[in-house]
Amino acid sequence: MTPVDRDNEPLDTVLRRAMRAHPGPATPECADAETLAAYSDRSLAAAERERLETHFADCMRCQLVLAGIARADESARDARAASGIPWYRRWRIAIPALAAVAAILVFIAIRRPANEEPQSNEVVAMAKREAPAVEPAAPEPAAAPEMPEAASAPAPAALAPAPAPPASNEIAMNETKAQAAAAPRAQAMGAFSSQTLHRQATAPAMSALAGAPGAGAGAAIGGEVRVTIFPPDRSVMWIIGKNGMVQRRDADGTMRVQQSGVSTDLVAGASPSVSVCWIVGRSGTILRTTDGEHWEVIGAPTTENLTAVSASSAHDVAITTAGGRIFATSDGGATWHQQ
Amino acid sequence: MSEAPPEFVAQYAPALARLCKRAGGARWNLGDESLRDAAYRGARAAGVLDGASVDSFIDAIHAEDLSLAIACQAGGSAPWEHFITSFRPQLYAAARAIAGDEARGRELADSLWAEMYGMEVRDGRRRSILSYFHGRSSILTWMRAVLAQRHVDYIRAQSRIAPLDDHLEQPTGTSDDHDEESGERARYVAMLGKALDAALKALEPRDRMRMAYYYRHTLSLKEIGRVMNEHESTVSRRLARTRDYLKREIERTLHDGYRLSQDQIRLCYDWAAGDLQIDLSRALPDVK
Repeated sequence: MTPVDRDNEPLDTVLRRAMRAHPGPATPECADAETLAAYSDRSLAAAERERLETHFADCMRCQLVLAGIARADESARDARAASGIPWYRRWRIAIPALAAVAAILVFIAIRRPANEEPQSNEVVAMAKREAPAVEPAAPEPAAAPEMPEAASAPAPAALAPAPAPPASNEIAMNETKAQAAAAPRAQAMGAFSSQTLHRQATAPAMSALAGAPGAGAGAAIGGEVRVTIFPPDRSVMWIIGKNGMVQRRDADGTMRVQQSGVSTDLVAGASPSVSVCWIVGRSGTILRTTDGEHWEVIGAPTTENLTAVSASSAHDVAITTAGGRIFATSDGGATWHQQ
Repeated sequence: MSEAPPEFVAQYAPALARLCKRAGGARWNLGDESLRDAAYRGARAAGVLDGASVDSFIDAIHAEDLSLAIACQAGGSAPWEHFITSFRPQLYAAARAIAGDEARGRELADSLWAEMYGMEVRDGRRRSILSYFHGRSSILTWMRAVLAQRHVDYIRAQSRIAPLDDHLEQPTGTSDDHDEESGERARYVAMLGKALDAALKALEPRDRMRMAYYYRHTLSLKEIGRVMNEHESTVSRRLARTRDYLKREIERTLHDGYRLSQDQIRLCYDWAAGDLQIDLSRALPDVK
């Protein structure tokens, strides 16, 4: 929306002037500090949130308080991000370092024999999430403590924990950029990218379950992309996708469709064992199977789009919303607690 | 003596047990009774005691933060040291961000810090503002909300002292032609104001909120997304869609309702957005 385009500039000016006013006193309808904070933390039930928004829409005082909370939160996030920038991402060091790397690559390219095949584009391989029919590109379990291979590193969308996990459209943009990258750049940056993705995998909710054996992970980065989910022994595979699609591939290669019971897009999954698998998707969709065959819908703590899940059993699960909230359950979804 | 009625404790025993387990009160030598009492007070304050949502209310409580707040109110040095280490820097950073000014931010934070510690002693106990925290949100967000409320009160107090910055400037000159033009301008601006008012009122609450955050509070797209729980690209897209809707509705009202030509509609915008210091908000009596 910004910058203001010429056609809408007069209306923008009018809107700014029309909406300028001073805050009034608190009214009986105004929310108290804790309610405003709970709204900001997304701790309120949907019905109460909607009721409050009807008031917030026209109450400058409440808007100001919520705006203040948002400013403080963004300021804190920016401060955390700035303090956490590793040395190779600080421009004063990165630019000379990149220049040196580029010079070395040019030297290698000049010296390389003409008939040598170019190496694979590791960045493109990481970004791709198509599930091939015969040989799936298997993402490594997010819980694996060792550095994942570049070709099978999990995608940012499912594993970026918080405070601001990238949305699916950001991931789509990142994928486009990755695919457009030239091979030499991919070779130079491939190792860095895999390290970055691995760091993103260390989410608080997921690291809590990281030590559990058999944890699996899946990832999705776009509406048209299918996600594959493996248990630790990789004896079976589930493929999930749009409109509630769930397919299972057995060890003998047999592929069959399973009834999910939902029509929402499914985006991520985790399978701690061959008979247990959890799947999450849009609009708070959570599915679970405990026999590897039949799926049940699990009541979700939110109707937000869900982007990630990690599970250590049929009972212990953590889910991540598109807004970055993490909920966990230890009773198979009967109750959820925000982390 | 327990504040929570026995029937409350009995009816919601499983949820209260989960709350106590999550709270980790043993770290601060807190008994389960104090947590149950706090849950009861919170449910009562939130007005959910009579409903079917008490269990979910209790399960949504930020248990560790509540436990710490209770322990600090009780006067323990260990919880208070933990509170200082964990939250004092963030409180001051939040105050700076909210006030937009180092000095004013420090003043806000100092005041709240003192009230949380409890400067007033009554019946041998410090009275702390932490007693208003029931765990419905994280304690950090609650502190930010209190700071923001106090800053809003400060702004109101300042606006009562200083004159409003917009006022109707009378054009110089006394010719009849000039008076007629001023009257014409005021009429056009009033028509635009009414059309805008009607279009704004027809918006959904969330669309009005988004517009207010962008045009009134000048939040960034990211900050608006934080408030609205939307991605900033979604905020941008929806703001643009709402603005297009307002433009269409305003022009439809001016054209169909007031029979203005396109040139006259353009004049409405130009005069409303022009050099004359006309307080457009006075043309919108229902806009708060």
